[in-house]
Amino acid sequence: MLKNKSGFSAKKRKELVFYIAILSLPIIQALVFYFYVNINSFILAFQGFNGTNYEFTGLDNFKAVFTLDHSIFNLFDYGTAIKNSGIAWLVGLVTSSIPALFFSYYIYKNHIGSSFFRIILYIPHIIPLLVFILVYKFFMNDFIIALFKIQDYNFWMKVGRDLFYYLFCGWMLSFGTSTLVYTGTMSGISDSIIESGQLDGITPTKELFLIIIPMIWGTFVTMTITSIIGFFTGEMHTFSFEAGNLDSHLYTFGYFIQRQTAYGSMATYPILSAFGLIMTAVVVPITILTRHLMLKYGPRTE
Amino acid sequence: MIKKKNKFAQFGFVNWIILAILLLYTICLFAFLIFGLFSSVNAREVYKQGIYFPINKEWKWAFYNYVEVFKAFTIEERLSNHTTVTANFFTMSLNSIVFAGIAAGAKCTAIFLVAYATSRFSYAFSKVVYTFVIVAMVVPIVGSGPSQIVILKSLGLYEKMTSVALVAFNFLGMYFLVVYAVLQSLSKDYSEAACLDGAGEWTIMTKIMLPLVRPTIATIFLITFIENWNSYGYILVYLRSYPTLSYGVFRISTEKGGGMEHATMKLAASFLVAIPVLTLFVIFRKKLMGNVTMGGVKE
Repeated sequence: MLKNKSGFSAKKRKELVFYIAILSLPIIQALVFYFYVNINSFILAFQGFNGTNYEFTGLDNFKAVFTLDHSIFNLFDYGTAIKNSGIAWLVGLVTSSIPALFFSYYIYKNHIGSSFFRIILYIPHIIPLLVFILVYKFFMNDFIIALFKIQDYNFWMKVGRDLFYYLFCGWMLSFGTSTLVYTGTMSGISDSIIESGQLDGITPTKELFLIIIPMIWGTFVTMTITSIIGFFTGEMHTFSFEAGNLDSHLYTFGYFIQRQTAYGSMATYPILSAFGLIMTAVVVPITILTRHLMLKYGPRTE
Repeated sequence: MIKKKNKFAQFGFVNWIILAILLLYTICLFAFLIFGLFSSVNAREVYKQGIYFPINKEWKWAFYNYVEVFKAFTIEERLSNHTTVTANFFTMSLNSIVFAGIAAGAKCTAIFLVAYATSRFSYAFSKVVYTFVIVAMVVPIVGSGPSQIVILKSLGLYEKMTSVALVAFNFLGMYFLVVYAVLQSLSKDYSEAACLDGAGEWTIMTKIMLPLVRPTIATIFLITFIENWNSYGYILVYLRSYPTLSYGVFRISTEKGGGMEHATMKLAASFLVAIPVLTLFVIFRKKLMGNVTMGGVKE
């Protein structure tokens, strides 16, 4: 092969040119819309809007975030946001993430109606979220109210009941992707492992807890890790229900961020960036630590 | 009989509980959807009387709700430059197709290009890109939306359809790993044989490798198309100048007044938005619900 002075063959050079050519645009996109967006978000957190431009204001935005001393925090308080975000996240974990594992096992084992249930669980994922929510709103507020002859037309918006109203809709919408991922992973488990368990007379419960879950633990960890950020971004679909008009006692971190991003202004973006930066600083170490602990102390396959 | 009893017992307690919950879930889902579907063809005055199903004598079919949606489903949007955009059902439908098509096409192109380059060429930079994808997936970032608005405004792309192509031309995420894995699993014999026949890198990529991963790319295109058809968030924050059907449903669902005030009309409009994606789902169900893996199994 012909080589030039630098020891680089013509073929290799062509290959490198092609490599750079096809990668350059996606990499530039990532540099602008991932790196620059996040770096700018960091810079924005230390700036204020003077009416025409952004200028450096030091830690003012962070002080405002901690003391809630800005008009965007008028209806927001940390106690309510932590309580609601915590409830939404925990309820999601207990009633959705863990049951999704059981549902996937049922489908994986091809039990009665498994193909049917697989489609049923995926349907809410296909129907536009807003369509589902609109039907749910009328079903609960008109049909259920009429069915049980409830006189109070504001029945679902009473404190305590309203949380159930949003959480139940979230529960209905939560199984599509996770069930698909778990069944996909379970289908990769070798038949010989399952058969050897069956020859030993293993019960379905033991099979699930002693074989299946340890085998797909990596996937479960990944799904749980990606759900941790949900504490700060999850909002029980309240924004899709109410847009900017949610009652403040139902505020979550996710709803607050979404509301302010959608209806904010150039003047409020720096405060929101500082808020996001603090949330990121909290969630990153928790995510990394959780992943480490789950992998270290999770079930073993030996 | 004994065999039947054994099968019954072998089913296990856990499976009975799971089956019960799944049945309950199915009943709830069917109740919502059947209620919604019947209400969308219910006469307004009948709905107001609290009659929701055609089992009642006073029930009146009102298929004209769907016809009225075509006339009445119009939204008006005030933009950042103080101008106003008005979109009717047909404009919103066109916007939905263009928005979802551009977003899905741009994403699939970026994913294929980067997955192909990093899986085929073993430069150190390929490893950097792969690691970056993993890190970006694992490290969560909260609240970068305002920064993206500021950047799009400074680039003159805010409320412009061009922004969709640029923002969606993004290879990060799970689908990159899926295409990367498929490309890695392909035998190198194909590209080596083409190379011996004198094919250039471009020909190998477009004529040999792309057809081999086309089914995977097509599935990802379908999934992202449906996701974008259903999404209203991007339109609300960055692209109000091109309201889509989903955004229209968001507006009529969360606001009062206008020609779409009544529940039956709102439900008819929302089912019209769902029909295209449900049709895609029925046609491509097996592709859309194919095996998805993340993380693999332990050996």
